[in-house]
Amino acid sequence: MSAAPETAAPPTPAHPPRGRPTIVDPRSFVFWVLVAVLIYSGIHTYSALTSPVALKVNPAIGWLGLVLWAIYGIALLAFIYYHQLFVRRSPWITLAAVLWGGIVATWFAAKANGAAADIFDHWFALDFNHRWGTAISAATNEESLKLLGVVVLFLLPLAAVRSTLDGWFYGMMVGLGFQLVEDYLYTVQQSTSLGDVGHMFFLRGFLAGAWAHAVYTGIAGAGIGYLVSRRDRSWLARIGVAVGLFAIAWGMHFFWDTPFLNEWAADSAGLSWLVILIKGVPALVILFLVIRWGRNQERKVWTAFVDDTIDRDLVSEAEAKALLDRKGRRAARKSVREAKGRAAGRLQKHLQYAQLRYIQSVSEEGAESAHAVSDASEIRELRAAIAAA
Amino acid sequence: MTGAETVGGTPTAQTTPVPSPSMEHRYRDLFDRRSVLGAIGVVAVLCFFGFGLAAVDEWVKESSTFDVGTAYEVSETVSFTPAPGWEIDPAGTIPGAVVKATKNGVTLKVLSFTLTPKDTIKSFAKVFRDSDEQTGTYVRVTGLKPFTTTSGLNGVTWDAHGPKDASETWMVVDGKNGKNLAQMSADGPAANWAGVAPELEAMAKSLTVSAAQGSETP
Repeated sequence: MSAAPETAAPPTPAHPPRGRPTIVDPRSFVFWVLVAVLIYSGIHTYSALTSPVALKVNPAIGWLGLVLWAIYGIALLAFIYYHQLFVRRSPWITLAAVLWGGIVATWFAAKANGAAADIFDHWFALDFNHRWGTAISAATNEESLKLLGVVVLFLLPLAAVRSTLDGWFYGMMVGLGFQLVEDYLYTVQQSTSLGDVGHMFFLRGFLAGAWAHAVYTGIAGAGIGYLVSRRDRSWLARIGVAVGLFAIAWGMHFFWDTPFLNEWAADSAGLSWLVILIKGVPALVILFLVIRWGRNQERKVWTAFVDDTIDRDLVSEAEAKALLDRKGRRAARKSVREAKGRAAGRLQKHLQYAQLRYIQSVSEEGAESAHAVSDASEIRELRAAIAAA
Repeated sequence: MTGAETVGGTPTAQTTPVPSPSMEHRYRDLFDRRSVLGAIGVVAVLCFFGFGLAAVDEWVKESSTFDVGTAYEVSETVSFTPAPGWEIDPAGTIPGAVVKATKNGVTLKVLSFTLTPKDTIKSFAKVFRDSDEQTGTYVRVTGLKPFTTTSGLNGVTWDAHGPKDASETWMVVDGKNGKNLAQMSADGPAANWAGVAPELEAMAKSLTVSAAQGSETP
């Protein structure tokens, strides 16, 4: 649809554009709490990260661990970041989510897990804590504290975090931060040689990393996103979904940490692999289902917004339809490439990204904002370039 | 999409320029109820996990005291009867496995399973040798002596003395395979030793091991 005529009364937006989302929201107490706990936990986490004996005896262990886990983290972060279908979420809010997971959640969870282990020891037989207590306390404390990071972002008005997929995305970022710091800590605490570092990296990064904290918090975070954003649903339904997804994340975490099946497979490498898959794959499958479900919602909202708001001269109906999924985008590029050559195919790709950026700019800042105007101009230039190709 | 929410499934339309920050004044006011309640909620959850659980843990540990005259269960199989005046040290106590108690600077440790008597005496002698080497004196570790608990279990005991420290260990041993089932050890300043020695002896004699594991006197 074209822009509304100037004489017509503009429709009342439910969420008027607020400008580009930002993590810096000094007029919210929650922001200052975030700053304070990041500093407080940061000091403690730094101390914990630099204190293992292995680092003092062999600093190369620390450096190798740092490099490996940093590469791993950046690769995973990039993979998740570029799998956002319609929007590019703020890098600064993303960074805040990673820091919450890596600094705040890890520090508070370490304290909570230690206390819970002692309490279980007092209340139950020693074997209980060893076998089950650790799994209960880790799943409860860690999942709650990680999810709190997603809640904090939802509580910041200027962060403009308000959809199921926002919850999924920032949940994964919080979980990723937690996972990386925990992995690094385990690596330096349990390694006595550089070979050990490689071994730990393989074990925790590849055998356990694909279905670990990022996945659990991604699932639970989507629930918070749904709870906050789906005001067209009843409170009961929204709470039910949020609690249900948290319960699934908790259950997957608990299942992974329990000795269930481990003892059965202890003597066989093949069985151990099987147990890893049995314990890990369901979490990944559930995450994919959650992403698919969230994307379906996002697609509907996006389509409705584009239909009602976006100038069809900039994003035609056919183009908007092609943008709905990656398959459609690829098909549109292929079509241009076959008609006008490889260079035009590349320009079509740029055009698609420019259109997505434009729609996001209109949504966040309004059609006459500087970003939207700039994006619109880029779209026109790319169209002209493709036509001339 | 992040900024394009719907109401009742109807998408919002927006063609206006970027609004001024005041549009969100209600939510962005520092002292707005939502802002303050949100912050309090976040802090409350963090406090619970960061400090609340630790406080409960401390409280649980502090509340674990000896009931004088009543058998204290160190584990599912081992118990002993504490003498008056001994206080549980939560830091060294692992419920179900070890209990640590103190009196007059003397530390008592009762555990349900440990090394073999030979290994224990070896490591024990080393600790004392290390700690006493600073003074240039020697430590005399006695040989194993038999002892029997009140309930008829057999065991061995030995003691060690240095100029600063004294120690004694009692061990209940399985008569069939020689494995130790329970151990009580005490160490502390040599100067205070005489005051608690009879109590230690009595507590050692009160050690019990469940019938399934214990080695009763034939």
